[in-house]
Amino acid sequence: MPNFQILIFGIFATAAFAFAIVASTFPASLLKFVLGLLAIFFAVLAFSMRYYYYIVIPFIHAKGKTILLDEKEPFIIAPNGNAIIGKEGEFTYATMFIRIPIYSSSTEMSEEERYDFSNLFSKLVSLSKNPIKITTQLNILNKDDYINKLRDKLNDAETRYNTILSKKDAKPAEVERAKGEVTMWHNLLDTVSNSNSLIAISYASVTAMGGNDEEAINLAMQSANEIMAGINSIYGVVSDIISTPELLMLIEPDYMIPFSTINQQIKGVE
Amino acid sequence: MMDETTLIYISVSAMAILLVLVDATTYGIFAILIAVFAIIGIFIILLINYADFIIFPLITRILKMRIIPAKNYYIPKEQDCVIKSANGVYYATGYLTANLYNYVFTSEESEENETLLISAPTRWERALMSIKFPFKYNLIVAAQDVQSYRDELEGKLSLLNFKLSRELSSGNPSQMTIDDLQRQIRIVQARIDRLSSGEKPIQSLMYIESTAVGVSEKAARDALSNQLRQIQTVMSGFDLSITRITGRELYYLFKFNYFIPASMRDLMSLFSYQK
Repeated sequence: MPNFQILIFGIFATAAFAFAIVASTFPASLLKFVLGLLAIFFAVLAFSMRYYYYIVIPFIHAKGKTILLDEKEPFIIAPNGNAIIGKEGEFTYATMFIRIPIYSSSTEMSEEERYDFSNLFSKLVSLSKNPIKITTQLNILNKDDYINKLRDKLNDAETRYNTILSKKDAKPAEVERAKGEVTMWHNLLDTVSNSNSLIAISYASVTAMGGNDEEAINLAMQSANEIMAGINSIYGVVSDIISTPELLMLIEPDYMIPFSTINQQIKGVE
Repeated sequence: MMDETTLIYISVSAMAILLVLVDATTYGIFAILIAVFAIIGIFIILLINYADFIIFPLITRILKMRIIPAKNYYIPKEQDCVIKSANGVYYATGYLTANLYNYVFTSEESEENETLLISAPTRWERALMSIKFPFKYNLIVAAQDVQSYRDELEGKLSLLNFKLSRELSSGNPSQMTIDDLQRQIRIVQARIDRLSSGEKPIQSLMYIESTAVGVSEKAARDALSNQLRQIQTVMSGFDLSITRITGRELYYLFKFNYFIPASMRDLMSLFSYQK
């Protein structure tokens, strides 16, 4: 892509110089003025290619008020589900995500341990000379399964309560206990289903470029292995590569906020 | 600081305009007009370089243009978020710069660094616990060559020492200048000490990302703005320089969600906010 950037900058800059030089050979006239204006216009256009080269061709081909930069999905999942793959021009990019499994809290640490922890983080960020991305992410937890289990428990408790009530010789303590159980599951279900729960994940991601999918994935795997070895030795943990479906939670907004929790999420931000 | 590539782009473009400007007297009755346009041209170039995050969204707003960076995603004309429409709802993702670098690396004394490093994990946990919506703190890093960075720091230290001795030996030394130079010397010395203690210098780019959901584009964008404001408040304890990202940089950050550039130099040159 930078080659395209240089090419398009060269074309506009040449046009700017050409118009300026041609204008200087003309005697004072409206035509000379127009040529001068064109030189200025192309010079500004040439500079804008420093930042906006990617938009020029899509802008020319824009349909209505929409500039289409890419009509493809932003990525595809690698066959074994542990990487994402994307294409740009002739090159293929593969990205892998490495879990950083640190579960200790600073509240449990002494001052010295906290200082060491910060220093270890400094070591973590200087692991590689190639860029790596270290992310801490908060996701909305998908509690569908948990809520369904709670509903089942509540139904069981209600059935038990009704069975006990229907008995003629039911002891008051037994009835009271069954009633308490129903109330407990009811309260738990209300609390769990009416609030969002968040889950924190820390991970590192690394991208490699290759001529085809396999090459890019292999190179990304090499980098990922080096980074995993670094994380393991720095923190004394066992890191691993995140694969689907968990992988999607890191990159797709609709997986960050599960569909079933949307009502709560909308309520929560009002 | 302007990088070399930008300098080349500016020089070449400005030279073409200067060619018109120096020749302005030969334009007869249009002389003043062409000179004014040439000056405006140079002004626009500088504006694109230093404030394109204002100009680009302004243009897309006027033209009411939206950008599609990938299938199912679009950047609205306001250029302040990336929207995904799925399952009949809208997910708006926005970004904030969050350069933590100043938090520890500008300390004057090693002891000061130590205090900050001790309090950092607790502060970070407290901040995370106050956030009740999807959030990402991203740190793109690459280690730099230690020796070249050390040489650079030592060169800087020598220059500062020279400036200090010149100020001290001048006829009328300014106490304010002396204090400032001494402070700068302490900062550079603290960095050299950190390198001596085994730390590696890094180049970094840090940003915060948050996603909000809504039943319409506007609802999602409003919720996102609300979330980003809350993050700004929560992170204020870190002495971060936080700015909401709009315009061109939004597109690159969207792409970094999936793939990061191979070199830190390419990456840094894309961002004006983070310089």
